[in-house]
Amino acid sequence: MFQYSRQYLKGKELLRERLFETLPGLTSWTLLVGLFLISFWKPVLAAVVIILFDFYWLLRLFYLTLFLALSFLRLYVEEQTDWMGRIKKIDRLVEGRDRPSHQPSRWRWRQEISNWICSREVQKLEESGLPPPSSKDIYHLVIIPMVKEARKIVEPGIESHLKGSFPPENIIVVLAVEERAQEEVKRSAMELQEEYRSCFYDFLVTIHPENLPGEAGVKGANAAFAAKKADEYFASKKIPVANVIVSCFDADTVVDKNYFACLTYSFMVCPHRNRASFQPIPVYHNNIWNVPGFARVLEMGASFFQLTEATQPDKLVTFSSHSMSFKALKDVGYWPVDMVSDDSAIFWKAYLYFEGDYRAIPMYVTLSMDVADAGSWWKTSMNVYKQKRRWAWGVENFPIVMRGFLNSKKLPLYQKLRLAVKLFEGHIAWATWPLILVVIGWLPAFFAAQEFSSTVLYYTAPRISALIFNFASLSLVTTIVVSLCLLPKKKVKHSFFRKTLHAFEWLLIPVVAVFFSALPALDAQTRLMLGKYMEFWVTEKRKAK
Amino acid sequence: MLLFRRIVFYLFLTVFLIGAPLIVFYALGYIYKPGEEKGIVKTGVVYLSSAPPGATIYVGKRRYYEKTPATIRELLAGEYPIKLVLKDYIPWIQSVSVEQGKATVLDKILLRPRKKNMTRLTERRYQRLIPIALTEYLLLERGTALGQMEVYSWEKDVTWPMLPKSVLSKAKVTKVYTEEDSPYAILRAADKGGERYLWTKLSKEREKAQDITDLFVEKPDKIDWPPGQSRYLFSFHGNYLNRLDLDSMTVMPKFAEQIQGYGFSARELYVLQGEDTFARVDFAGKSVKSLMKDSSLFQILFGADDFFSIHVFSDDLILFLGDDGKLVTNRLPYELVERGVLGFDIEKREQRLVIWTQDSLGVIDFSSDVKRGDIFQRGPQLRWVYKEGRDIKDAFWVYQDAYILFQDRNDVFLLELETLGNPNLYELLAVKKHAPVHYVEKTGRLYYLDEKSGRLASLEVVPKQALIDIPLPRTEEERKEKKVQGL
Repeated sequence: MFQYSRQYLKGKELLRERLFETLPGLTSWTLLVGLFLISFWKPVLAAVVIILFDFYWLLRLFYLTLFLALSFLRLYVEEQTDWMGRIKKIDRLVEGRDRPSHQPSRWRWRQEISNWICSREVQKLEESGLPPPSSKDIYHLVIIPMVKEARKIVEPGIESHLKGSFPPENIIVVLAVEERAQEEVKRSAMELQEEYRSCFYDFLVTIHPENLPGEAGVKGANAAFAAKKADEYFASKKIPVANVIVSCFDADTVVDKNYFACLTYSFMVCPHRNRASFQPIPVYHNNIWNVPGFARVLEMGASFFQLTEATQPDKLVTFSSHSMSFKALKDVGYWPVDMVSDDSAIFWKAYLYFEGDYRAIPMYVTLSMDVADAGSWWKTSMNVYKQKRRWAWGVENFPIVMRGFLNSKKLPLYQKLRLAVKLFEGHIAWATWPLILVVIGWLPAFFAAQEFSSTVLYYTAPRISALIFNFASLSLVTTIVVSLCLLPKKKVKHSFFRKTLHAFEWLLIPVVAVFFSALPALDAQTRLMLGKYMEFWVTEKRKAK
Repeated sequence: MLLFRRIVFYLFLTVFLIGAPLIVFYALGYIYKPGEEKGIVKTGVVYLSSAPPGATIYVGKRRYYEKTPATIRELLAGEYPIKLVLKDYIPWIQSVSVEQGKATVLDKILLRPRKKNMTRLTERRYQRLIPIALTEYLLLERGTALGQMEVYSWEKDVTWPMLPKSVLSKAKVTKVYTEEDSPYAILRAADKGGERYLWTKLSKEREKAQDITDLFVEKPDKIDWPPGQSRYLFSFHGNYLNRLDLDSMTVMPKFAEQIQGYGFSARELYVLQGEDTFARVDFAGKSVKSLMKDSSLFQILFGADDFFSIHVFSDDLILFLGDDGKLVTNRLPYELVERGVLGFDIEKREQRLVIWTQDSLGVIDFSSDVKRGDIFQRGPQLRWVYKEGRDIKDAFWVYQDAYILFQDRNDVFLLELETLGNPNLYELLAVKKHAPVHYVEKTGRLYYLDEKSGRLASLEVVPKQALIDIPLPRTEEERKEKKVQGL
């Protein structure tokens, strides 16, 4: 059986692991250094390559922007969906009462589209012959790992579980506290348990012991420990794990009021619900107006990425706070206890375990987290850089996934290639594209010797690049519009002027993309290449005063 | 959504596969011309940049939307008449040839104004102007008396008397010694007491002039000093150099003997000595390094009787100018001009030299020593660009190396080198007889004495916005003094 870990590898597996660990960093550096050298030695060739790259980038940008817009539209459409109503209709279907029908709307086009999508999903469910459990029998297990977070960080998230449309009586909250956490944190967890226990089905606190064999100081180890405790709990309460949906949230995660209802619906309507993860759209609205502009732009970009990823569920991988079938989690052996990127690792672990019969279902509902604010501009920059590097550390999955693919006999080759290419290309693009666009693209002209500067190419290349970037601004405008629509509207203390000013912050993209996206990714890949595995660093979070 | 996504993906892929080669071909200069034999032709471009910018471009009869600086694209190979038109400026017209896949670059076109931008700088009239190259100063003579010598600073645009009033104000100036890149001058003045040598700083905040007459036991043929320093002077007597120390007011007689030529860098004296020695000596006279060991080559280059002034531009570029106008360099093929050179000006960035004889101007390009593909090194190339002079007195590089401004008798001309055929010649103005002119690249202006009034005036040759202004630090001379004092 394939072990989803880089620990205890020997012989051929160890060689393979190191080879694949080296590959992303080596490729990124080769690309950057190679282009740099070609710009110097063969500026004509470099200029041609850069033109081709710019054109490819433009088309890719248009492609992504189109799906960003469509995905945002879907999010907008589902904003007012009555998920509990849908759940009840599925219940009636399961109970064999009447087929859910939708009231035609005379004036709400959003509802019409949403209903149409729902009809198709229900039809697929019916055709699958795999009816879901009744919603009354579905439980939500919410695991919130804690190590440094103060009560005021965690409590809003807990409050949001209560305020949702889904009955909290079916929610079990587990605060997973690290043994190494300060007493203050442990005390807060106990206080929260005391205060909120009666509001939920149950409210548990687990203390994850330090230095368990085989475990690194990672969130996944803590979450896995809590999940095992929860499994024992479910056994004691005779709750079938197949009816449990587990959500592993960051301590600052605040869910949308419809989150659990949408999640329950998605679980019920998915025929292979116990071979599925459920990925919401992460937004960073908790303190978005209290952070520097560059951080705002960066986090909006992360949300946009997930929005576009949601449009191709066949290649969707889980990210950050998300949910999954508890049965699937248990079957695969819970989250990896030695990996930093537990959010994506669990998906791949499940995918390989189930030999490809595993999927991530996009949910068009949001959950909100904090931007990594640290008070001062400089500290926030460092925090953001480290956080992005931690995200980029998801590249650690690449070698393990590749080994898993090589070991798998059942997965079709085409499928392996598709996913491997997407995973690999995604990390390389992350680390190199901004640098190519913002820095390296201008080098041929900078290094231009007499030979190059007397060619037609020397004069047409900048013009073509300028034209491409002008076209790209169309995409930028779309992005700005979507970001303005996505930003939280309820916090009225910031003026319309302030929000409009946010539009101009998008002009920071070249700087933000290089320093807070490409460089952290390159940093992470280089560490992996050199075998300098990252310790887990808990992102500092503050609440605005 | 999956199906839609797939369709869009293949659509974009198709656009890329078709568009990418088209873009690359366009970038390389290929276009499709209906009616041509093959249809697809490779074109060239012309890049035009003028000072001032914003000129309307005509290629043949066709007027272009872009204004200078601009790139004219999609030109088939051939000759094109190009005209630049700007209000209040004389149209610039030239025939330009375009090659396939190549860019023809004319990036230093100076448009001449219809009305010259002249400025009168002083009300007083002067008889003579003495420029001091690489400084902000011009010396002006109202008459022959010491008190009639004035200094003008083009940087401050102010004039002041060269020396404060004193008993010597009426002494007659018999000679003025200046040095390139030095803010000092020596005046040799004669009064009833005899001849005196006065060492003075030219700045407005100068102290009293220093009487250094006692340092001159005999009348020197020449007096020179290293650029940027104020301690040592060197007087040349026939065939030896005395070193004069202004700090201790002492003389080191025969500091160097059997001198056939000399020159200075900031830290050292270069000498041609004896009949076979080219050496470098520090000013203390302690460190002597021989730079040439081939006495036969020495004889071929410098002969036995000729005197050479040595000009050190860098470690790998030294020029020797003989009294008879022979120009020699330390680079192959060594001898550049056999005779007749009266002076030269160097454009350091582009490593080009303009030389003038009485009737000709030539350009020597030191930067194009070796071309790719050549087996034989060619060395610096001399090209005579103008041969119709009458009495060329001085020449200057203008607008980096695009133009040469020169004075021929009392007329000043501008020679445009940025052409693809013969250089174009423009007459600028006439100046006072026998009065030199001075061009300052930093301001883009020509300084001269007005032909009729004798007043100091300036003419804008290059518009300010065309110049890259690299301001000299005000402490430049202090910095250099400190450097030399550290010897």
